[in-house]
Amino acid sequence: MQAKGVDVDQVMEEVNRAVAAPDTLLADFWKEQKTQSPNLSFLYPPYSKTLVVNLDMVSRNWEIDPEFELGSRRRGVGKLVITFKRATRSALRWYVNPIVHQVRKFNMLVTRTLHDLANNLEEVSGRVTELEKASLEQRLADLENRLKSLEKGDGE
Amino acid sequence: MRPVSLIVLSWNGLDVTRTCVMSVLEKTTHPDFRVVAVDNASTDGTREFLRSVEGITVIENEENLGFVKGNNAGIRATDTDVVLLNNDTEMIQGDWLERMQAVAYSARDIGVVGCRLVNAEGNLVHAGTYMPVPSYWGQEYPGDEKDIGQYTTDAEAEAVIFACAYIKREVLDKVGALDEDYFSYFEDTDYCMKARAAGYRVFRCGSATVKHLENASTDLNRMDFSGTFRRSRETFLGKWKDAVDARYTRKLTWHSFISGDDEYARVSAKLLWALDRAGVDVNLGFLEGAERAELADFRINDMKNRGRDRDRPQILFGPPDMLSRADGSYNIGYVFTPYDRFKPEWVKELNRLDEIWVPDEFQRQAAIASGLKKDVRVVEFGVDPDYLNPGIMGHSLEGRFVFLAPVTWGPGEAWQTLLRAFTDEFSQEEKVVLVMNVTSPAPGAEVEEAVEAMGLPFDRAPVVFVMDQDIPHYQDGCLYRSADCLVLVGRRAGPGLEILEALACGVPVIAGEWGSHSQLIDGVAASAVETALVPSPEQGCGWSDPSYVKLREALRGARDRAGASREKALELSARLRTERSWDHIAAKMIERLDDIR
Repeated sequence: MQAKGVDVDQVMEEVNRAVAAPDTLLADFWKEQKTQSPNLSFLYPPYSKTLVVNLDMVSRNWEIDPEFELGSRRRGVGKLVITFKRATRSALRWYVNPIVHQVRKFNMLVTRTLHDLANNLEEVSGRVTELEKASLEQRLADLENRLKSLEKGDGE
Repeated sequence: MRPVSLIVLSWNGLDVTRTCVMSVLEKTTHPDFRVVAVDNASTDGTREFLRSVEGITVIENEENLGFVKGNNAGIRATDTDVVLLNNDTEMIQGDWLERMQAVAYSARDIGVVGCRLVNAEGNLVHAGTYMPVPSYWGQEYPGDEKDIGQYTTDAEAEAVIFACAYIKREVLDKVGALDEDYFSYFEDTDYCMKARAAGYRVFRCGSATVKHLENASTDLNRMDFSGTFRRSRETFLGKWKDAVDARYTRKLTWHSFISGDDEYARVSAKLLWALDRAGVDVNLGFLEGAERAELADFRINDMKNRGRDRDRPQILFGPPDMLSRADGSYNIGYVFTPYDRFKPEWVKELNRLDEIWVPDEFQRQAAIASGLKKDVRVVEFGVDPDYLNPGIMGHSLEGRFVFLAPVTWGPGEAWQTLLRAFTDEFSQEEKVVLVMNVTSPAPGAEVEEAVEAMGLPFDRAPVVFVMDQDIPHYQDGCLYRSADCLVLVGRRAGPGLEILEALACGVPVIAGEWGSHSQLIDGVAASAVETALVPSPEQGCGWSDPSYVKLREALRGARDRAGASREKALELSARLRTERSWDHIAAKMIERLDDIR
């Protein structure tokens, strides 16, 4: 997808709007974890916001790992907590891992499908542009022919 | 005020002619002007309209005499200074004529004065013309750019187009009217060349702007534009080719990147124009591969098509490890390092050349300390005062202090330190905002995720990330002017272009105390942040990391002492635009090249 240039006045207008109402792609996820999110905004070029950036985010996040590193914020008893978590994970592995495997498979297929759809969309957009161009050229040629025949005096 | 005759030539185009004449009569505030309308046998009611307008003189030609003979009929009917005005122009300023006349009489030897022309969309299409060699395909500059207040100074031009041009009577008396060997096109360049040959200068009046619907008569009358243009070009070449070629008095080969978007391409483009203006015949080569693609800039594209000539000095401007194409009579490497030194393999390569240029003293010291044996000279980078000055339009946020930080995403920028310092220093109640203008290697959510991982506090002043917005470079000045302070947190040593450009716009800067930009730090307009030398990803090389504490202090200081900083920055801006213009830098280069010769 080709990037289009943006003028500074448009950018600053967007900045002004963003200061009034912060907006990030991840805002919803942040809100799940915290009651308030940082005062941040991300302004993407219009062509990339909906597709390229989201697709990139999907690609980065489809893979889930049940064997993530375990930790604890508690001082002193931290080691004990980690040991307990490890034991729990081992005990539940027989139940959790098949579900994780199923979710991973689903995520992978959805991600692949989204990429295919995006590629198809780009291809179709290209073809539509070509057809529009050909149609305009044909109309121009028809108009020129009509003009020529009018100039010759044999037009209607 | 001196009397002036405005000659408006028409050939059909009733609507545009009406707009032109009525806007002239209704808007022009000059106390002593008259309109001489010359009609080239219009058949669409234009002639009747002109007859109906009170107070103007109408000359009715029996046939279409073309642009040249038509205008000459008007010139012959007057005995004052004249302004040639196309019928597809529209006045948008009341005192446009006073301004053009003031420029014409600001020096005895100014003979012809043009103005800024904007198109129907308001974009700036004309601020002067140039003749690229060897295509000799006359061009206007800037072509088609958003009007951001560029080219608003009065300046000498190679030529101007005669859609709106003020010509002094003494020039008409000495040089004569337009050359009737032309029907239309190139007659204006021809006339400017004649005026210059007669000892007059051609100027652009930067404070006068006129709207121009280009080629309206050609389009309305379905005239053969390319045929007429081609014939006129041939006539022009028959008369002036030798004179155009003779303006080049020196020769040089320039190797660099030119079609990219990096510092090398941007600096090259500005320097190549300045060298061309100074009469240097530049052959453009590349540092690697063959860049065959046609370039949008006609002047530079022509330099690429001039062929190779090894019998001239060469300047190789690029990364120090990419200068292997040195095959000129004298080879100069024009380089800079992003680190605290030049790597040993670079030094080896550079020592093969005859001479080394670097953009500042910091780089010179780094080169010498790295073991460069060749003569190392400072040839500074410059600024384009037409695009970087305090008059360029900014779009500030009302009642909010804007910190602007240009960031290329990667290890070369201390963006975490800046984010942490800003959000820790300013609370939500304070009217400030940090705008991070981010260029990332690939569009994606990497930046958002990295920022999320920082776990920034939630009740602090806002930060807006402007992601890969692809703002055209000619609007860089606009972006600087939209900020109250530019914050540079790059870890790299060079080349320090942004600090120079922002200061040229009169915008205060915060930057690390280390590296190329340290030369411009004065503690008021440009504040220094203490840095520590840390290892870079390049083995054996270091770069700098700004101090979190000092950065916080500098941000607070910039906010609290905004008035004094801006005043000082404006002072500095005037000096930079004079002493560091690209024309000035090109003159220094030429001086050195003459010494070599």
